[in-house]
Amino acid sequence: MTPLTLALPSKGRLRDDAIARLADAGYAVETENDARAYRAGITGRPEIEVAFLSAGEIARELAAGSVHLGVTGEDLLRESVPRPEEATAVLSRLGFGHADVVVAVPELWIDVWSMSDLDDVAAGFRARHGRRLRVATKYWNLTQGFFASHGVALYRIVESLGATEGAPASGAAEVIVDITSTGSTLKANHLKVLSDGVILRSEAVLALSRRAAWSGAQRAAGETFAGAVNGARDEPIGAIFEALGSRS
Amino acid sequence: MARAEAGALLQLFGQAGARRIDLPVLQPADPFLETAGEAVRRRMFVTEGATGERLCLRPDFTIPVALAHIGTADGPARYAYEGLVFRRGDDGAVEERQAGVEDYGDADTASADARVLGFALSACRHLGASPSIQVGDQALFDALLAALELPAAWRARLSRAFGGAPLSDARLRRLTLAEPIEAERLPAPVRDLSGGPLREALRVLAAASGVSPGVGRSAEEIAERYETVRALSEERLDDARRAALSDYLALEAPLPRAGEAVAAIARRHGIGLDASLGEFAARADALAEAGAWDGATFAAAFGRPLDYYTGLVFELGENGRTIAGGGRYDKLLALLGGEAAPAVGFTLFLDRFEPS
Repeated sequence: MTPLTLALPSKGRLRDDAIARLADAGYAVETENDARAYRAGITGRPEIEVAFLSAGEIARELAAGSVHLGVTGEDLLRESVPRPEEATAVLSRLGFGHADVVVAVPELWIDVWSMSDLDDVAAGFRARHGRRLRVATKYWNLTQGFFASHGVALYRIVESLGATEGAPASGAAEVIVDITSTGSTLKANHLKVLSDGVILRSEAVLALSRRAAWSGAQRAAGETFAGAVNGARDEPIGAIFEALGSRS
Repeated sequence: MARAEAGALLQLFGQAGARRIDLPVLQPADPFLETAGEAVRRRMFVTEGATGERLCLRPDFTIPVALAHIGTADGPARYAYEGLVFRRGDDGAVEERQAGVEDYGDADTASADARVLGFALSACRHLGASPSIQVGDQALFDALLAALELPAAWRARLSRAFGGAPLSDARLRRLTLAEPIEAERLPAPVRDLSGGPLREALRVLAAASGVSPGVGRSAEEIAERYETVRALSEERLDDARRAALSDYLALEAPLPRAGEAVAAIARRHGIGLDASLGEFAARADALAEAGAWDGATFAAAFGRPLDYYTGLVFELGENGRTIAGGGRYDKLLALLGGEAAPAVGFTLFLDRFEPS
């Protein structure tokens, strides 16, 4: 059979934690020969091929259907396409890589504590400043969806590919939507999270691509693998894999 | 919808003094984003120009016509348009054929409203439709908010919320609620301060956190809203005013009787709406003369969730589909960088007409 492709994060804690979780499940990723290799095998499991990619790429490749399975942050998965459930499915939550995607504003804004306050400020902003309030973020989809659900429309997103927390002080934006784990970077930049401003409590997840081409053998191998990896399941794995069969 | 029929429509509009205007399909993206906000971005097809400027395939005609007017004309003008717009529909649809009229600069807003609704109706009838007419009024709702003497912050919120999701009692309560700000949540240097000392403390804090001067919201802006919110947090929307709002929002009446029905609600709740009702009646009369009387319904809660709509809104429907829509948007031209002027218009959704 053609091996199914499993995408794992290429660096950092996410990579280490993912490899350890797989090892616990009896799937030892072979990385001794070259720690920087893009591809690797799993001892005794020729049916699975590992590809090392950045967490962001993993989310995009899952959504596009060019890998079968992947470990990545739930935030990136939900951001990758506007309707993630159509392209991917979360098989299990792995309990590491915890981080929240949050809406943060300057601590200086002593009048703003909730999304409703932000809505008021956004509405009056143009009259005072001649332009819409700007939100710096790389999370376009998550931000648009969250703000829309709170009825906030009068803002503009400015793309931020790194150091988002510096945007308000530098004047690049007034508000940010960013991922935070300890909150220390926000604090260091004199930013605070709105009381109802947690968009997503994210963690690393094992996810499946609904758009990839799955053969019967690949489905069986994937289901066995997913069943062996420890994690919290919102939905029975069997049902998710079965749904694949009816699509191909 | 055959192009021949669309051409006939433009002739019809031409006879009524609306000059045909041709517009590029490729438009700057920013004006659409600035007016409608991020909600429209998902639906737009965006691309880049030769020098990196953000462009899009026009998702509507109202903005492009307004921009063209600002660029070239002075004073009152009336334009007619026809062609394709491009939006990502939920059903995967991409192209839609539209036609319509924009009417700028007529200070006699009642006549202009009636004229434009009249054009929309004649166009529909010309295309073989006998549409139902629904009419709403943003200005009348704003007048009610003023007459109820609600605090300015609540008026702004309710005015903004009008025309979007229904303003149920629960939603009215939520929109007029302000949580008190506990002292412990405030940065220590500003606790218990107000007036000049508060503003000074905010300026010091801003400098200390590395914010460049002039960047972001000013100390004055923050202090002003902070003091307003503190004052409001003790208040609640009382039952009497909430009942008045609910009664008004629930009103639906045939247009000839709408003025009377609103007046009755005003009397019942002791609200002074006479001046606004006078304007409402004047426009209703103008609409009657334009033949928009029979079968037209006024729905008090009907509006558009875009902040540049300021008065009349209307929708023409057939067999459960909206085939045309329009309204007054006196804030649009200024929002786009032009001189403020009255503006009213409508769009026909040509693909939704039954082939005749």
